[in-house]
Amino acid sequence: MIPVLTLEIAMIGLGVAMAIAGLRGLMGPRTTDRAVASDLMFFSVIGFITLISLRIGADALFDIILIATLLGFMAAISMARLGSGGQR
Amino acid sequence: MSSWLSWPVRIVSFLFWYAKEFIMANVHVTLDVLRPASRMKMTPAIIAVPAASRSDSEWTLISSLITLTPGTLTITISRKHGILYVHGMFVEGREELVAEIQEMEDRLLRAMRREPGDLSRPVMAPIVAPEGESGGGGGRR
Amino acid sequence: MNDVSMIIGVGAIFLGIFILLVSAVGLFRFPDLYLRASAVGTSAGLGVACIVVGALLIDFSWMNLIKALIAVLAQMLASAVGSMAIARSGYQNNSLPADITWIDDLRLTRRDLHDQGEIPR
Repeated sequence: MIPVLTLEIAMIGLGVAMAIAGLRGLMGPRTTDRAVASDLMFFSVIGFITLISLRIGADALFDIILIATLLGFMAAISMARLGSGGQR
Repeated sequence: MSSWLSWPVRIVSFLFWYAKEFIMANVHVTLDVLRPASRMKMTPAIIAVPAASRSDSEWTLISSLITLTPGTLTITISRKHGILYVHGMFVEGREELVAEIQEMEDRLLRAMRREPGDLSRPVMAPIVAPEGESGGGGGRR
Repeated sequence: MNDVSMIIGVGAIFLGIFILLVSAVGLFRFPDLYLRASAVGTSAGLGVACIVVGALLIDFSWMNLIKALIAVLAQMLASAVGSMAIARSGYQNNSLPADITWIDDLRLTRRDLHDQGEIPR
């Protein structure tokens, strides 16, 4: 098994990336800047899911990643729609 | 019949070429983020690139591949005029970016089509005056 | 064999996390929406791919290989389409490029500038 300490260091790194992206999301001058920041936060969430599944040894790891990537696409498209005020 | 036989070979060699470009572009952008502000050498520009794509799948693939390469980003396209509006991070001149994008498109089209077919492009980017109700300039798909 | 693939897998995961951290820093260092979208593009493609491949090397099976390949390809195409949509809506919503942008061909197509007479018809 992979050492627990390694996974915890990796999770701290991801948490820092997520916090920086979240700060941009709070500050972002326009909706579309926030959309880009939330995109990056979503990629860190995918990383978190991977690390947590490795730690608890879940079998369905790759199924979850597959579904998560497709959900992220929906999030990005709806943020873009929000940013342009509903027009396409 | 030889075009059928060489099709997989062409697609695989395109994928290798694209993977090389993709990793190089990643390294470039990552180094530029880490460079101190006094030595940042970003020269961004938004440039109208004449394109040779014809069908829906060709337009979709070329604009997705451009966006997937870090440092270049397709903002919108105008199918009527045959133009890709590309935002580039390191643009030394209009010709350099146009040549880079058109090389990628040439390789993609040669790999995708069974015959190379029509690779001609509009010579000059026409000045696209705004029309219709969206301000996006002919970019409505 | 098992130890080697474990070490390479952990290395790939850390490389992916490093790329995510760098593009998070890029969100603050770059001045406008389009450059920030380019910075996030590195983590959308290579960053997530490295993390998934690292997990695959640690927990390898042929079924997982297929799932991971589909996941990486879907992630790349989906994030490309997503960032195109965000950039396009940003331009429509007057998110102007920063001043260092030295050529802007799209500006010629802006309807409001034509109406103000800044660009001759």
